[in-house]
Amino acid sequence: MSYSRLRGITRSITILLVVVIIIVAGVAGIAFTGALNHSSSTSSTTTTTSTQSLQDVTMGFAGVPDVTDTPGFMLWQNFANQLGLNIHVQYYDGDTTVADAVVAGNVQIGEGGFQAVLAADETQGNSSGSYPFVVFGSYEASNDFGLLVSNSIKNFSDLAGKPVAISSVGSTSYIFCQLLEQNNGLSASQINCAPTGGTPSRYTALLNGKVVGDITEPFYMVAAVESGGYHILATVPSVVPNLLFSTLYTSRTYMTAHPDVVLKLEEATLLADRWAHNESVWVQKEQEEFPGTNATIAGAAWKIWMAMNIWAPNGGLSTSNLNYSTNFYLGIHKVSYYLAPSYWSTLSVQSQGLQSLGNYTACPVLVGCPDSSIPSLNFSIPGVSSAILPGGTLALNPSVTGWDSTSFWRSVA
Amino acid sequence: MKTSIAVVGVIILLIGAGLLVYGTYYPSPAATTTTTTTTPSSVAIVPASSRTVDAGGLWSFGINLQKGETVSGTASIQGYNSSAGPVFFYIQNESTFIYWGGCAPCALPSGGYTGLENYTLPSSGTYSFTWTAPYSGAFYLAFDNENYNQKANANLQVTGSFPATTSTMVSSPPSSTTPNNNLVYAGAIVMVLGIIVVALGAMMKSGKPPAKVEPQPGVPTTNPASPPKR
Repeated sequence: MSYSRLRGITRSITILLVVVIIIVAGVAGIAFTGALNHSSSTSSTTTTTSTQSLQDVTMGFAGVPDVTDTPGFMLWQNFANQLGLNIHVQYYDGDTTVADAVVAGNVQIGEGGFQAVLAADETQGNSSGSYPFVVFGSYEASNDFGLLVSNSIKNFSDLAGKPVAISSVGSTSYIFCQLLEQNNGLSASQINCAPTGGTPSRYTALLNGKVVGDITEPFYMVAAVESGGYHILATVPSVVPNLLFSTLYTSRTYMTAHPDVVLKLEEATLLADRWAHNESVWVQKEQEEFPGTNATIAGAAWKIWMAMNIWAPNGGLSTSNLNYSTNFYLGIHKVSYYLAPSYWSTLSVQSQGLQSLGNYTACPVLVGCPDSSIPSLNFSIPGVSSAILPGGTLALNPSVTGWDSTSFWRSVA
Repeated sequence: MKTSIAVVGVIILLIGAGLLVYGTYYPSPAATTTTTTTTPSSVAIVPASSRTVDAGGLWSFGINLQKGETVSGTASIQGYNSSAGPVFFYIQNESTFIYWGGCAPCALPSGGYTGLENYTLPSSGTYSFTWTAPYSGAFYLAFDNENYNQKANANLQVTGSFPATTSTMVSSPPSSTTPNNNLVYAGAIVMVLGIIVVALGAMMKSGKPPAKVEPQPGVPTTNPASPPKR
């Protein structure tokens, strides 16, 4: 091989190698750049901690809940969350302690008899019209107590001097024991309202014959009637049908600062009350909370509560029942003077809630949506339409006319 | 011939390079791996609360818990006077809470307090607890002063937390892509082949016949293909 030929071959190889190196280097650079650009999208690791996006609000309930509080459970456990609220609930002894907690700022929203917050307003307000606490919604729109008696008591005259079980002197059951008996013709000396303890204790005392009557609520009424030895002589709604039972209230300061929270809470309450108007879902919840109880009796009690409109699906506040109730508690000296409802209550929150939710039309308000698989029971109960219980008597508002709460209280005192 | 082979090698090299570049810049939609780690975090599930509970009174808190959620806290009575009677502290579910409160109607829940708690405050008046929810639902933390015959300055502080968990989710969002490694690797292999072919082409001897040399006078003709005739 000649030198020139060898040199030619070497030059060709060199040129080719340079070309190859340039191509490989270029491609490698391009590929490396691409790999860098894509590396961030292949995998990501995120560390999270649980966060709370709901609005917090503290709320106090009066008393440990009973079966009428099933919508109350739904209120804070379900519907409030759906509307963006996280309710921190506390349960207190009763109306007064909840009002005290609201006054002290321990809770922002209170549930309970409005007379307690009305009393707080009257104590802490001033004559210039500045009252610090305001009722904005109803929780239980009617009082559901009634007078359950043994069958030996045919009428109120038979009750003269005989013991009727109440919780304690001054309690709600005491007030309505006095009210029902006096309103049906018994004199102060004939009225015997006997302190016996809580609802179960009173019921046991009736079953054991220690008392002949018991101021109690629908579930016990139905259970006793079904046992065969008892009947219902009167109910509170039949005597004072416009009396509000329990309300929702807050401080005016909180309402001004958080009108959205107050409105959501009212809406959640309305949704919970509407939920309770379906007997099927209500009884299902009742069976979860009170396992072992009789579903038929629960269903009958539900029908009575429907008729009493205790869970008002369109709100339970009105100017007329606020005035009526104020006068009632004024008459029995639970508040010290008359204060117009405009100073301590507002209907605007309820109105706004209804505006956003619309009126409840799913079922008749005083009937609800009954579950046909749960049988109706055949007995009468004053204040409850016969449409609810076959054979029942239609006796709403039979005796309130002419009732004088002032003279009633004087006789009690 | 030699040049042709080298050119073929370069073409193969370029094809490989094209595949590699294409695989890099026009990748296929790819799975995205998301790893979510939930670290144990203490969240105050009951706002720090204190109040004076009346003699014989009660004070309860309702909380929603998920199964496995752990609550830790302290329940205390300031200035506790054991001679005034015991103070109980419960963690109850809804049925037992209602039953304890004197429900209407009342039916003792089956299982009673199984999985729940029923404490008696010690003489110090302070009880620290850690408890894990056995199932999801509403639970109630309750001071029971029914047997305590004087006002009680009660305080409750509770935090809740879940154990640490790690979950990995693989998804293929259409907007997420990754290099097509198959194409990239194939391109690289083809490039190597191309390089080999180029090298072979460059190193092999030329197949072109030598130029015909005209015989010169006095110079013997040489033909490399055949030995010179003698």
